[in-house]
Amino acid sequence: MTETTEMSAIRTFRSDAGAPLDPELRSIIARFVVLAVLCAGVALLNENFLSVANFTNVLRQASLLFLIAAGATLVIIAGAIDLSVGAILTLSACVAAGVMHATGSSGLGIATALAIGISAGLANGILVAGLRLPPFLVTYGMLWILSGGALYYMGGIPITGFPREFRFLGSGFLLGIPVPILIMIAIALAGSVVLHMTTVGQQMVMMGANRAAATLAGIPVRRNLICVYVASGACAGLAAVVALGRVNSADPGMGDPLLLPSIAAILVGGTSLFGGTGTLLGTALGALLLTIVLNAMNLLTIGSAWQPFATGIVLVGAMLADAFLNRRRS
Amino acid sequence: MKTALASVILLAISASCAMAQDKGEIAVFTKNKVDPFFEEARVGADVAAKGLGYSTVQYAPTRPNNFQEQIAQVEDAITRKPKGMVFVPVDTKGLKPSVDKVREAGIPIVNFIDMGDGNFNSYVIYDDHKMGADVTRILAEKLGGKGKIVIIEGIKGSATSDNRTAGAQETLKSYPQIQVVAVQAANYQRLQALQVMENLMQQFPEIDGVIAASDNMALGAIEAMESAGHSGTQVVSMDGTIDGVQAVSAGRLLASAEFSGFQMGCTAVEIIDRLTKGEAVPERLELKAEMITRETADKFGQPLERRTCKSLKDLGLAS
Amino acid sequence: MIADIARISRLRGSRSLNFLSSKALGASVVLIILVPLFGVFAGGFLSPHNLVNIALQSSILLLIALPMTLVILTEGLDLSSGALLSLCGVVLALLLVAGYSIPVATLAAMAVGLLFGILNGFCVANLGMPPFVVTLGTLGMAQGLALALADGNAVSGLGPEIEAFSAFRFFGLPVLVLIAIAAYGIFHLVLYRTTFGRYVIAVGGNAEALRLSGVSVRLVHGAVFAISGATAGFAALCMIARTNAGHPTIALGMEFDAIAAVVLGGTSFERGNGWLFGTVLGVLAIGVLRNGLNLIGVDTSLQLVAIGALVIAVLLVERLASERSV
Repeated sequence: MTETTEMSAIRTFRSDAGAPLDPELRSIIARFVVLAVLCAGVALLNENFLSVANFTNVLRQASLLFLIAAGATLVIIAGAIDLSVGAILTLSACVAAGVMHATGSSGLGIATALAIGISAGLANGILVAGLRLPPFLVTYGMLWILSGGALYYMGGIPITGFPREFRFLGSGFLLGIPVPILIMIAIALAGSVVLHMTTVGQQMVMMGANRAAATLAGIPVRRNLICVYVASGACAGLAAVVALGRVNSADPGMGDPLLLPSIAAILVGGTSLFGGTGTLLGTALGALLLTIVLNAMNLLTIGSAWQPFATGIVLVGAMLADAFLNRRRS
Repeated sequence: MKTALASVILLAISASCAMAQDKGEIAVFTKNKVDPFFEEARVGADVAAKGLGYSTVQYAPTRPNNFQEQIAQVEDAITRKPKGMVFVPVDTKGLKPSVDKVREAGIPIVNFIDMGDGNFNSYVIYDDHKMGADVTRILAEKLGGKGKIVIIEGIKGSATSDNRTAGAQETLKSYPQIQVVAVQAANYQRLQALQVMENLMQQFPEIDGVIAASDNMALGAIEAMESAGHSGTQVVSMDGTIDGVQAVSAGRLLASAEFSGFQMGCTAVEIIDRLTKGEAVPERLELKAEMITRETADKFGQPLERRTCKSLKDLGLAS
Repeated sequence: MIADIARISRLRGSRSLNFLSSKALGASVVLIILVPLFGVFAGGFLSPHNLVNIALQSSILLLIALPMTLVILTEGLDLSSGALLSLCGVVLALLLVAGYSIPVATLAAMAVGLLFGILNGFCVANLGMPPFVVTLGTLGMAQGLALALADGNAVSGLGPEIEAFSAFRFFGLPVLVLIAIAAYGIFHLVLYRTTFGRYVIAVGGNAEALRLSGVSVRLVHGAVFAISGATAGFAALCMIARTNAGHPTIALGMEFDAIAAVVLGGTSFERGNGWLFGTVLGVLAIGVLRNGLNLIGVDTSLQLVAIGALVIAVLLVERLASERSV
């Protein structure tokens, strides 16, 4: 009970009294509007954009970005950060590929990927929560250790060709819908339920909003932090399974290009880097927004050199919009 | 901290033990540890060096294709005073001052992969332009001289990718009924090629052929088409990686061109050996790129540990 | 003396703090252990030639790490400096190819860096956006611009002047090392001998007190980012001198090396505690580690693991040391 009252106290503190809508809901609506405007714009420029096939495409590409960002969203909401998700994906995918090549077993491959993701997350959690080291630097150090480990493990040669049933998770269809999209929906739902409807979820939000107050209120801050890092690692491991199934090949460079877009997706989705606010639905919308921008650039055959530029613009644009909105309100 | 230090010390000891060999060592520089092509090259150099009685030390930037790091590695390697260096530069032009330093130190240095300026003793290369032209001809003939195709480039602006694309475009000039509907870069990455192809299939429902500047990207594009249930598109590419050759045998890839990092590594080391013996070597050695098609695929794509080096004599390039 | 000035403006400036635990413990320990170790195991490590090499390889990183120290002192973070360095390098190279002189091209590159720095500073200081996000965004923009301007390729053919510049030596020290030393001198004076420097130190520990005393905290925050941008523009000249070409992705990820160096050097993320010379030690520690491992011939992928482990180990040791001294 006390938790919920604290919770609402923080909420009232953060949103101004006159606002008609919950700020999180408003931020989601704002993102839907941006998404709709963007889609309409691209559709006018290119008639192929609005096809069902292209949409499936975009969703499938966004799902990988979402999966890697989902757990990291929880970490950020709880007031920390995880820079190691890309590297966790790489190492999980590489070792899982090695295991599958040696044993031919999809089950073992999936278990390996998840186990590595969870262990890496646990290591992050223990260092950050248990030993109280700064999250930015710990996860950054882990990034180097994990990607160096993947490079060493692979020895320069990619591993390709996985069992059919394994590939189903990355490139299969269920009821006409690509499996990665279904996984994305499942994770988004499960994560949202945990975040919004359980005590642990509420505690995470409180910790992010005010760590000191949360500690005083008796919330198990350390245990929860370890949990969010484990969740983040597990999501990266799951993303590794999907990525492997999709490209049918593992190489030690596969996670690198995903780190910045995944953080961008979280932030574009309206999660505050200061912690305490954010939603998984927002992250999903953020991933979708970024993917659509890149998809549109491909459809309009704009050179790939401009893609990081566009990502940067979208990111700063979203932040600016939020800053101005908040400013007008206060 | 203690464990980190202990491991550093262990590494130091194990590395210094591994150094002991007869004729000295050869430093091998590659661009990254991600692309399998460079692993082939490293193994080729290793095999040749062992055969000739040298040991090798491998250097690759920890961040893929990081030029600044490669420069630092060259400087550090000079301090080890190797008998020679074989080299895949991240950037040929920018490396010139470093190569000058190597030459000043009296160390012979051979570039394999790039032609270009610089002060190398010798260059071992394939003709990328011709390779692009030749595989494109195979594709064009297969398509009966007409249809819509897309080109997937490597890294836009890199010499290898640009020359391969230019070669392809030149062949296409003599097939006026073939239309290039899109040219997109996928940076030699499989996932990027897959996504580029997914998007292009939306834009152009009918694509008859794909020319990819590397096997890796071709396989990404093929994955995209296969999982979309899209069949009938012919794909050609270059490199002749183990994966690529398997895909040719399986009929998924129409043709590839042999661009053997293994053999380039071998030949580069052999040239170093000749240089240390004071023999004259040609400044430019061009290896012949053979076409890999379903009929000839058996000859290519052996696992690295079973490959053997062809000497300059075997290749008919020296006496 | 200098340390005293710094301490006055700090909340936790207890004199009884163990010297090493408060200052660059990580970098000092790394150097004290690694230098003799490499001296024994890595042939040629202690030769003058190799020591100059290490200094040369560390010089550009120092140019990025010095302003990064100021940014972190004010509880900020600049992720864009590596990408900015690349972008400024491309701009500089393009101008040199177009026939402009080195000073003009350098000033233009610094202007580009300054512009991005001001953008960072404005968003952080005036709009209250988190520095991490802002600079991540400008990182993307700068990287994209660099790639687009250079068309993904290296810009080369810069003419003989730049080669002459990079070949210049004074008492055996390459020009880049001299520049790095001079840059340290300037940053030292600015941080410890000017009012602005005092504000920078004070903002991190105690922004509220500074605000109450009538100082524009926003201006200090903004200026630090602007300095970071402009310095990245100047560092581009050094990078070009070293690589003889402008590469659109050459310094990608360098900001992380710089952050690692600053942290190894004992500057704290949380309290605005810091020591500028510690950053020099941090940069050298990373330089020595990479150089030594290269000399020994350790697999380069294990070098990544070693650096990552080092960063975490240093954090751990510092945590233990600070707990003991409290």
